[in-house]
Amino acid sequence: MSLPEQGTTTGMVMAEFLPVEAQSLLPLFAWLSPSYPVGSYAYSHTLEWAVETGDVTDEASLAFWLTDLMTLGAGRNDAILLAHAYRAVSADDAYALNTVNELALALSPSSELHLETSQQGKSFLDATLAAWPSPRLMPQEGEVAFPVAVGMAAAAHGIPLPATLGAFLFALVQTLVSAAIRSAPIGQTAGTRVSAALSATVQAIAHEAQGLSLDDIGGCTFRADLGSFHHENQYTRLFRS
Amino acid sequence: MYVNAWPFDGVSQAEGSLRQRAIGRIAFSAMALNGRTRPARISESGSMRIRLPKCEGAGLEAVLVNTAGGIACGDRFTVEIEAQTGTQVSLATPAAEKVYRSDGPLSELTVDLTLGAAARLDWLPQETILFNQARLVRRLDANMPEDGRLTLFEAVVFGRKARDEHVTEGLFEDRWRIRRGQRLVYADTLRLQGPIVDLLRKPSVANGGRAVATFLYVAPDAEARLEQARQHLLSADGCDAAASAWNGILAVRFCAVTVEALRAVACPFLLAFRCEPLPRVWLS
Repeated sequence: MSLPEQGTTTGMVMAEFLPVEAQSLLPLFAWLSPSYPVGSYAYSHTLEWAVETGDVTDEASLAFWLTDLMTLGAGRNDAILLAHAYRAVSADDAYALNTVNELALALSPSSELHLETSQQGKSFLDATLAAWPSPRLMPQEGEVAFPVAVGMAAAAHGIPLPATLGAFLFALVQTLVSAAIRSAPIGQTAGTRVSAALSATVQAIAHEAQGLSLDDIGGCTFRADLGSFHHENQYTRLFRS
Repeated sequence: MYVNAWPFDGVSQAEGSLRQRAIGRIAFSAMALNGRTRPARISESGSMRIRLPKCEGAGLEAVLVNTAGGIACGDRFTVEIEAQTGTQVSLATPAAEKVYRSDGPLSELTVDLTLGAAARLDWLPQETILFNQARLVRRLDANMPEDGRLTLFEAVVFGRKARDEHVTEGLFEDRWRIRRGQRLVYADTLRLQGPIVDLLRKPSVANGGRAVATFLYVAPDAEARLEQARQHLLSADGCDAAASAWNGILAVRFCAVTVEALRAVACPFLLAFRCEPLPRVWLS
């Protein structure tokens, strides 16, 4: 199999005919699709316990739970972390990148949530370095948090930050809706409706996160996080978190 | 020593800038001397005091006292504790800390904990009670070596159930950062802002509970003690509690309808896990 090398005539002609936005957004569809070798399908971000304990039982309770996760929990925090990782790479600031990654990993409230972000972060970075290399995308020593890895890749490839944030958060929503369909009495159609209903919240958080500092990170999904402690001992489980 | 009335009821907004604010600072350092922990340096200012009741063991049990009788808006308190190489220090407070309502300014409480080589430090204040319209920002920073042992337990209650108090408006921000061997290993910012009573009703927040607590044990044997910690939580009744351990950290979270229900699970847990009595001031 031979691949056209960068800078060949074919590549340049193709680039000229593509509108700039479409060209620059395409990688997001690959990186945040369920087929990207990250293993997102294996994580429920405490949702499996929320189903077990009866907090999430139907379409409405799932929508409330996801809205809280986006606005009061990991969704908003991950968006802030992604934005800061993106800016650190854009500015070639290795120290800032290291600081945001260290914080992102330390923010994991439990063993399973630490695994969720660090395993997906590493898999994402490995896959992206292999398939979408860029001189600005550097391998990381040690662990890397998932939102940080996505922010790094997006900055390295010049993908606009607002679109990256929206896509990242919406992918998280869809991952969790898919987890809910598999673990709760919630059907495909209801799940799709929940995803659609969450899109406005996702856009609002994606917009807000761009203007927030690392000190703005914080939340109050205390009991949802406590659910991930319980999940470690859940008798039957499909998910790693 | 604690007042039960709102300290600044009847004071108009216009006088706000002239009101007296409590500022307090404690700096305390403990050193090891002939195998026992002894005070090395004590500095007190404002309304903060530290008391060192005599105790039999090798460690030092210190009591922090806020003579201002609670925290009102605009108050600022700083606590700096250093447990030098080879020391064992535990800190407690003699009563729950009440945070009164604010008409705007934030109250700030800053805690800095530093551990020397092989030091053990236990931070065990009694619960913080937030009254309606209270605004508290708390910072806890700990710096420890790889072989240090740090225990933290902090409980917060939003309004007293017996008096049917609800925090319909307020701010509580609790920001913890733990550095171990120069690396940030644990970061958490619990932030409830606005209509806290409504937030607490959400299943993802507290499911109607009004008391939450976090216990952390950061030490070389933290992960090895996970199963033991779980055994001590088996009888958790009326209080949602569970443990998790990773990267040298053992965390336990508690969530209950009342602080009494929370204490009924947390106190036996602390007693069993620490293998020593609770701070004596907890019981008085």
